Formats: sequence, C-alpha cells, structure tokens
Amino acid sequence: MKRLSRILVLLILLISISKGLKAYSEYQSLDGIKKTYSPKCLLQQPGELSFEKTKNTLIEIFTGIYNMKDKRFKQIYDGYGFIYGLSFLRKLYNLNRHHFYLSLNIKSYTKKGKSTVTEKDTKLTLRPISLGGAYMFVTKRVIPMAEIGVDYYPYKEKSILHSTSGTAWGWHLKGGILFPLNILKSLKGKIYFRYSEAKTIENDLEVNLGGIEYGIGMIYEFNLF
Amino acid sequence: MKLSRNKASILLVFSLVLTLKINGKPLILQDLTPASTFNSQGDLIYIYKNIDEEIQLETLKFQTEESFTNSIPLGKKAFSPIIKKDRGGQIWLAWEEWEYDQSRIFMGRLDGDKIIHSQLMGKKEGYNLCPDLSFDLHDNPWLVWINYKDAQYRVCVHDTILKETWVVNSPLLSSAFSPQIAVDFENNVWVFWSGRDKSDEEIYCRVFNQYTWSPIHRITPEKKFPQINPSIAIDQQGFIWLTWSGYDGKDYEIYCKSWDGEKWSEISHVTDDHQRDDVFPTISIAFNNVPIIAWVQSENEESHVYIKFLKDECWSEKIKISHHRGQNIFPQITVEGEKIGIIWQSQNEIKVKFILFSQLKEYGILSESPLEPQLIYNASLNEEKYIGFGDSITYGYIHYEPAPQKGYLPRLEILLEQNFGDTEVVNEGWPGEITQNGLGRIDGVLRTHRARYLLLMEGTNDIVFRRISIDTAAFNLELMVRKCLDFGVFPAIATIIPRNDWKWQNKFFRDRIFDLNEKIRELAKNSAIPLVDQFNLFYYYPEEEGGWESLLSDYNHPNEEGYQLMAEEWFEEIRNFPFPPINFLVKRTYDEILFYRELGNDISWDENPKIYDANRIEAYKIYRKKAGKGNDQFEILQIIYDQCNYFDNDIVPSTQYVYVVSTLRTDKVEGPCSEQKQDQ
Repeated sequence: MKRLSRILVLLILLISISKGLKAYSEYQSLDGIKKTYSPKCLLQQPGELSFEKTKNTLIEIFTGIYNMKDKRFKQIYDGYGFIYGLSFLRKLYNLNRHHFYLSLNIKSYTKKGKSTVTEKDTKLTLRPISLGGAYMFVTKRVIPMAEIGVDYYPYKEKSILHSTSGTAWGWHLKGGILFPLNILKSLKGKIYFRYSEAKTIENDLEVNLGGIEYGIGMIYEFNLF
Repeated sequence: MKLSRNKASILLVFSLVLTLKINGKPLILQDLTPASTFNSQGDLIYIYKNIDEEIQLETLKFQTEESFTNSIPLGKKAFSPIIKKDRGGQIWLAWEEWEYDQSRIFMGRLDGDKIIHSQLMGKKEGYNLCPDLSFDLHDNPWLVWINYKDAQYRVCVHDTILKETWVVNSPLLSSAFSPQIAVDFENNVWVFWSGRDKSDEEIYCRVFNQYTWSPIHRITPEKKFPQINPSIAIDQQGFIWLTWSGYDGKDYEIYCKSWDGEKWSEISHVTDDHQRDDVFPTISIAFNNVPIIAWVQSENEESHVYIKFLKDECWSEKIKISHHRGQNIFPQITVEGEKIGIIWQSQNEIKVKFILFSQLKEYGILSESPLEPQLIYNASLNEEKYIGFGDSITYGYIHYEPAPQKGYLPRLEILLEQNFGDTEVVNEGWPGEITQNGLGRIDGVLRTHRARYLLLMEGTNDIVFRRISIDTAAFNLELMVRKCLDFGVFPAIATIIPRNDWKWQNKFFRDRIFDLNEKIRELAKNSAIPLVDQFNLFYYYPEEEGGWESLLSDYNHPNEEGYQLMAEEWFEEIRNFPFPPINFLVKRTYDEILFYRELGNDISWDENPKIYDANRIEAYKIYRKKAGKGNDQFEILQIIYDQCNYFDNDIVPSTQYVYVVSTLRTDKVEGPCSEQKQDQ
C-alpha cells in the first residue's frame, strides 16, 4: 500500500511536471501564432511567463531514489530504495536574481532486507532531518539551485538477529532545478540530485548512512509574514 | 614368568592333540557338543553324536594315544548325551530323546558299551533338555534339566532315590538355560542356572540341604549386561567353584567365584582384556586343589581355546590350547590327578588335548601382547562398499554345497551397481557360524574391509544350540550392531529365514526362531537401524507360487529364486538408506545486518542423490567437536528440518571446530555421517 501511494505521488508529480514543461514550451507569439520552443531555444528564449517574482516561503514535497554508499548496505538491502519527504524554505535574502534560503527538511526512508548468511528479515528506518542554506538563481524560465547543510539521522534497524537504534550526524550537498507548472501559478516542479555523508559506529561497525539521492518534487510558494 | 615362543612350541610338542575323523566325515553334528570324563583306568572317555546320528563313545589312552570307538545303542531320537563319573568310578549317562511335540530326559549307567538301568527322569510335559548330572555322598544320581512349556522355562531337579522333582527357578520362569548341578561334601545339592529376572540374564543358585531348598540366590551382581554359561566344580575340600561369562560393557569376560563354606568370595576376573570376547568357560579342579578354567576367546575371524589356572591367588597367563584356524568352540575340561584333558569342537570335528599339570607349571605362561586399539575415523570408510556378514546363508549355500556366486550377495551387487554405479559387496558369510563367533569376528572384518555399510544376518545356527539362549543370541547381535556403529559402519539387520527340517516341525525350535526374529525386530527398532524382514518375505510367500518351502534348496538354505528374492529385499531397503549428505561445506563467516554482525560457521550440504524416496528424509543432524579433539568428542549440535544449511553462531572466535552431518529418516533411523569438515 505504501509502495502504491509512493508510486501515485510520483505519477502525479511526473504528470504535473510534464504539463508544466509543455505549457512552458508552448507560448503565444506576438503574431498570434502558437509556437513551440525547442530544447535549445527553451534555454535561449525567455518566455513571457515571469519566473522572477518568487515568494518568501516555499514548501515542498518530494520523492526520490536513495542509494546508500555503504557496501554492506547493498548486500543486505539489495541496493536502492525510495525516499520521500517534506521541505520548508524561507527566503533570507535576495539580490536581483540571487536568492538565499534557509532550508529545513524531513525525510523518511524504510527498507527491508535479509541478513547475509541466514537471511533473517531485517528492516532499516531512517528519518533524516536536514538544515541547510540554499541558493537559487532566478531566471524567467528555470531556477537552478544549490544547497549545503547538516543532517541529523535518527536510525533504527530491527531484526531477529539484533535490533539497533541511534543517531548520526552528517552533511549534504544538493543541486536541482525548479521550473514552473501551469496547473497553478504558485506551483513549481523540481528535479534534484543530492549527495550526503553520515558516518556512525555501532557494535564496532562503521556505517555510512549517506549516499546519492535523486528525485523530483513539487513546490508551493507563498508569502508568509 | 613369561614363556618364550620356543618354550611354547615345546609345550605343544609335549601335549597331544588328536583330531578324530572317519572317512572324511565330520564326527559331530553341528549342534551337539561332546562331553568327557576320565574313566577308572585313567583314560579319557567322551561321548558325542556323529553325523550319522549315532551316539559314539570314544576312549582315548593318555600314554599310548590309542583310541577306541564304541557305539552306544540309544537310537536316533537321542541327543546331547552327557557322561559323569560317580564317586565309585562308575560312568553314568543322561540324554535327551526328541519327538515331534516333546522331548524327555533319560538316564542310565554305562557298563562297557551297554547302558543299564536306563530310566525316564521326570514326566514333565513339553520339551525337556540340557540335562546335567551329579552324585550325592551315597552315589545316588541327581539330575537337573530345563523344561519348556507354555513359553515358560523351568529348572527341574530330580532326586532319583525319592523320585521327586522340584522346579527351582519359580517365579523366574521367563528364561532359564545352562543348568548345572553338584553335590558338596556335606551332601548339599547345588543347582545353578542362567536366567532372567528383570532385564538381562544373571546366574542364579539354589541349595538343597536334603530337607529344604534355600531361597533363590543371585550370584552375579546386578548388571545391565548378560551373565551366562555357568560352569561349576567341587574342590578337594568340598567347596563349590563357579565360573561364567559376563558382558562388562565392552566385551565378554570370564569371571570366577568360590564358596568357602560360609560365604561367596569376591568376583575374580579371569580375563579382563576389553578387546576380545571370552565365552563358554568350563572349570575343573586339579589334584592339588588348583582350579583350571578353559574357555573360548574370539578374535577377528577365529576363536581359540585357552586355559588359565589359579596360582597364589592369581590367575596365570593364558595358555593357548587350540592352534587350528577357524572356530574352536564349546570346550570341556576334565582333570584327573595330574592329567588334564581338554576337548572341544572345531569346524564340526572333535579336538582333544592332553596336558600334564606339571607342564602347565613349567611352561604354562604363553602371553600374547594385546592388539593396540585402532583409532579409525569413519570418513576413511569406503562409501561404495558393503559387507554381507552372516553364516552359510550369507555365504551362499545351495543343496548343502557352497555356491557363493549364486547367493544373495552377488545378486545384490548387481542391483546396486545398476542403480548406484560402481559398488562392491564383500562376502563375509561363515558357514556354521553362531552369533558368539560372529561377535568375535566382526572387529577384524570391519577393520579389514573398511566398508561403510554392513548387512547383518545371523542367528540361524544359534537356534539349534540348545545351550545358547535366544536372549544371548539377540544380545550378541546387538553387540555386533554396536561395534559397527562404534566403528562408523552403518549396519542393517535381517531376520532369519524359516527352516524346513525336523526342528521346524518341533515347537521348541520353531518358537526359538520366532523369538529370535522378534528380538531382531526389537533390536532394529531400539537401535534405529534398518530392518530387512527376510523371515516374513519367506514365510508369507504366496502358497499359489509354492509357499516358502519352494524357496529353499535344502533344509536351511534358499535356492536361487530364494536368494534372488533376498537380494531384492535387501536392495529395497538399501535404496532408502539415509546416505550421508554430499557437498558438505563449512565456512567461517559473518552473518550481517547493517548495524550488527555475528561470527559463526556457515554449514551447507546437499541431499544424497542415492536416496530413492526423499520423502523419507525427516531432517539432518549436525555434530560438532573442537578441532584436534578425538572423534568421541563429537556432540550433537542441531537437527535441521526442511533445509540444507545451518549457521553455527555458538562459537568461540579463537577456536576452530570440526563438523559432520548425517541424514535422519522419518522412522528415526540415522545414517552415517558425512566426511568431517573444519571451519576455515
């Protein structure tokens, strides 16, 4: 059921993004003829849709694929898994097109696996909380963004073999692009890539909870205070 | 004092060994042992039933080596004659006479080659057998024998003057064998027998003081192992000496006890070697009040007669009496003055040996160094090799002629090769063998062939030896099974097939066959080894196809059709043996989850493809020991159901372990272990 809901969210996001991109690439020219941007002209031709006036608060839901770097993780949990979460971004400062945000996000990641020899069931749960500073370069069409921040990883691994819970600290780098969606003016789509490190030692084992994450999100922007 | 080999050979030269044969025929029927005594002229006389079913009396002169044979007119119904000399030097006989539904005991006095005053002793119904004879101070004969009726064994004692018969073993009637009788110098009548009270056989005794009988007294300490074959003698002070054979947990040993007029002595260990089975003791008293015991020691494929005498309250070194290869069994020792006569049965022949007691004292120590125990691990056994172990039926006899190439073993070998590939089946059938001999032989067979599997079928010959109880035969089979298991050999046992001779018609012997087969079935169940019920295969062979009699070539041995059926029956069981798992691997590794890992040994294996019906596999048993420890240190680690791997996490990281795994069948029969693997 959870998997289904995740897929549903992913689908909605994909549809929204594709519609947004389509709307963005189709515009009414001055001669009244409907024209379409090629990918090249998409970057080169500023459209009439203004993307410069951003609001001071952004809220984002996102989902992505999380691929933990730890080699043992791959053996036990069979590679990647889905991650989803919620972000809040508050504009701190902007200078022309340069916007700076404070970012806070909470994610959830659960993965089931089996122990390497006896194949006993095991379940890993991560609830990372990240605090970071984000930079966005606002253009008329897309907003490239970058973020750096610290992560706090509450983790829990539950198994007949052994159960462990604890926390770890780490950092992350994130890059992405925001683009408008034509569903609602305040909605934006986002694709992102994230790299993180979060090492911890439990039971004499060093585990790196960080890894590579990439995914998509949907951002709603509004003014708050 | 130890005797050198040269001196030992001198002893052999001094002693006289005679083998009696007439026209190449064996002198003695297989199931009948000779009895002997010295006559008033100092000649050794002994009596036996020959192959022509005639009772023969042989007289052997000590000095001249001359022998004379007389036929005693007792008829073909007479069996098991014994002779005893009374205090006046007269020779008495007692014997059994067998008919279809009963046997009776007779007694008479020998006068030349005639029997005078022949009379029927007691008139008890059923089967009366195993007589023994003694004489009171007035030279009146006293007789003891076994009466079998309604599945109860009674030890009967008969006073020939008062014509009174007592049953002395009541209420212990479930088993009684080997009765012995003697009268001491106070005219007390001592009766001994081996019988069963609770579990295994013990030696019991009762004494009659001419007025009343004493309570039943158990002579042997209560053990969980059988104590059998009592033999008694009266010393020159009139005191009783008793010897017997008892199992001590490792093998049969010879024990001795004496009565000093007030109490029994402590048990004296005549043998105590833990490596060879010592059985069939017989005791006599030499002229200077020295007890001498003769007995049979079984080892590997042979059994030999040895004697020991008591000197300064210590038993001498053993002296080997028989030097003929093969089975030498049932010795009788007779002493008169300095002359010692030992008579025994060897491959259906009678052997006699005279020794002077002075020779014993001079040369009488012939020791043999015991065999070093071999520590052999079962992984060294040949997985594709089977031993067929048993008697003539295993060897392959048809029409009383050897036909090993037509027996069930070569036929079985063909079946195994067709199904399993290259397979060897070794024929270790020994014609005429009883379980006692088999017990002595099996160690050598196991060591020689180093086969993984042994097919045991023995006991047919025990049936006809009335002095061997069914309990003893079953116990011997159990010991053989245990020896196999101890050696790492996986045994399967078969019931014995019915026979078609007069003994089968006779309820006494027929009951013995049924009893032994029932005990074999119990043994298979209790020992958790495969059972092949050859008896039922024969017994229930369809009448329309000729019935079981049509499967025999003679009275005892199957014909080719019978052997083929036996081979197929063996094969049906073998194809479902719990063969050891294959591809057995052990690896030291970690069982890991992300935040925890556990060190252990990952053990894996595959089911043996030779197992025909995999549904009969219930589980696998894993055993473990520490590396460098002996194989007796293996301990059960785990029983694994429905999978072929196990992770042993109960380890000390700095310690290395060795594992073996076996297959467990649904009927709880556990197969041989795989080869051992050490963690790496």
